[in-house]
Amino acid sequence: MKKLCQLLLCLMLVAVIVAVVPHNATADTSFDDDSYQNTETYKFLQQFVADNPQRSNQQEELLAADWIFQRFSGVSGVNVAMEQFTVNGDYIYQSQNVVATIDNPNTNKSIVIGAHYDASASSQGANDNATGITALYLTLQRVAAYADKNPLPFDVTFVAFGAEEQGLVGSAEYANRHFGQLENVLVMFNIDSIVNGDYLYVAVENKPTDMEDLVLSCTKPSLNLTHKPYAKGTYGVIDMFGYGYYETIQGSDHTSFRLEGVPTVFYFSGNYNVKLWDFAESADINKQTMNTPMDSMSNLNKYNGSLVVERIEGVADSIFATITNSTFEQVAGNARKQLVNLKFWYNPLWPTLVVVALIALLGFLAWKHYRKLQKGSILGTAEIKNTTVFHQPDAEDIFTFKK
Amino acid sequence: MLKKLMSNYNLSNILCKVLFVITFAFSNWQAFMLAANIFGGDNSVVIAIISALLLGVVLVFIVPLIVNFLLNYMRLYSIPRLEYILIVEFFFTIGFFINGLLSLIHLFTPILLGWGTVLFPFLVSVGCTYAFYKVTAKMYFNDVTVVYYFKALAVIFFVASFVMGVL
Repeated sequence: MKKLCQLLLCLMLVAVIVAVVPHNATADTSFDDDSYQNTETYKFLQQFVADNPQRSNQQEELLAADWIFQRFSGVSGVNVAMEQFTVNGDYIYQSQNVVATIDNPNTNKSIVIGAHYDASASSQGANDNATGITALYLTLQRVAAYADKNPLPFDVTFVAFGAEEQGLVGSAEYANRHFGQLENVLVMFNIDSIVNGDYLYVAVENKPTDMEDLVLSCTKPSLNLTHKPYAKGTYGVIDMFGYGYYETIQGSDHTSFRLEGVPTVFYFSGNYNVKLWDFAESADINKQTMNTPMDSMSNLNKYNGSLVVERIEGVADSIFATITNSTFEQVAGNARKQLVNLKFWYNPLWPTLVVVALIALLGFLAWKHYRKLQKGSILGTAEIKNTTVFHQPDAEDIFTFKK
Repeated sequence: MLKKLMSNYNLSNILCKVLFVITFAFSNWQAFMLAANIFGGDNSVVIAIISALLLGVVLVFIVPLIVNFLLNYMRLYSIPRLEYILIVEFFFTIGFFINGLLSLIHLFTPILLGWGTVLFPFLVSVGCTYAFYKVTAKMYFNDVTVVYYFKALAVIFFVASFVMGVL
């Protein structure tokens, strides 16, 4: 009887546990632990969004840029400047890039690390791209502290881009303004929307490269960083809203550099397993918040929990470990040689010229064939006189010959 | 089986038109996916396929009109029109099918996308037009009339190639 009671008690205990613990507990275990919200990383992110909840017009972008300028200026060993430009998008307004530089006067080589700080209208842009700005700031802190003791063999430029949502305007403006120096840029790192997507990807080139190998090897395995699937993200002639295959049209600020032949490393999150050949932010429709009012801090916490901090710090660590790796300079120096030649493969002018040449060749062959047919059909001109068909003296009485 | 099919105009006509529509969709589904995404805000495969099939059906009705117009313009009155249109649609079907197969290469080697999008349709159209000319020239023209037929077909082909492949 005693054993039976014990057994019943055990069964009841198991039943209570099963009833109380949610079925998706595995996915939500990190949600219960809010300790990540006490980290400096999270506080920076939260403060940035709280102080700049909207960042989609001139005044809002200026306030956000000022905020970032102040934070960047607080890091020792860094020169910070604002670069203003005009946005000719849906409406005309002034925006600015915040540029922080760690100089090495002994070299003209440099790398650029960037993230955009603006957001689409009606969105807080917590994931897109306050997370990127936070990772950018963390990277700046790490690199500045490191370079203070171990000078890097290149300049490092950190850029918080404005007006990305208006069509990559800030990065295009930066690339245009610094066009003469782009040939000395070894690599451009871009960070955009790194938390909310199901998976964390890095896109280097749509094929294996040494730079991709280096980035992945320098990243903590716990971050689960993978390279973007190479042949995904394209329909017809256009990449579907960035992040995809087609190198000339990608949906974030690294595109402006890649188009000028600068190797790029792009960190972003998403899921390529949801749609056929296309990018999706998440398999969970509730998590598809990009450029919507759903992209808020509360949703970022709700759906990602401690992953918010893990991914932001993980990306900052990944970039820092990559650029301070002993082989980085060599790998980056060869990175341009491994790029796909956009001007050859994606410029429609060349295949069109080939078609024109083929049309000309075919035209010539058709003309030759036409003349041959003419001769064979006794409808030819006077030169057919020599053929056996026209050996009769009265041929001119029958046919009219061209002169 | 094939002989029976060739001797039955109605069956051949229906079969050819159905295949024309299907192969048109097969050849152009990537472009329709793109259009569905841009204009519909969605990348639905179903929308793209339905759009392609619908346009294919429309083309089935437009192709005979164009062929009739061109035959009248070229003053080629001695050709049996319905049969000739059937052959035109048959070669279009073959062309669409081959182009569709070649377009699948883009999925596996997207780097060829830029060149393939321009070159594949042109190369396929060259091959199909030549085969079409050889077949129809043998069927409907003699050594004398084939000269004019070749000239007319060549002009149509080069104008169409230049407009669609270059412009």
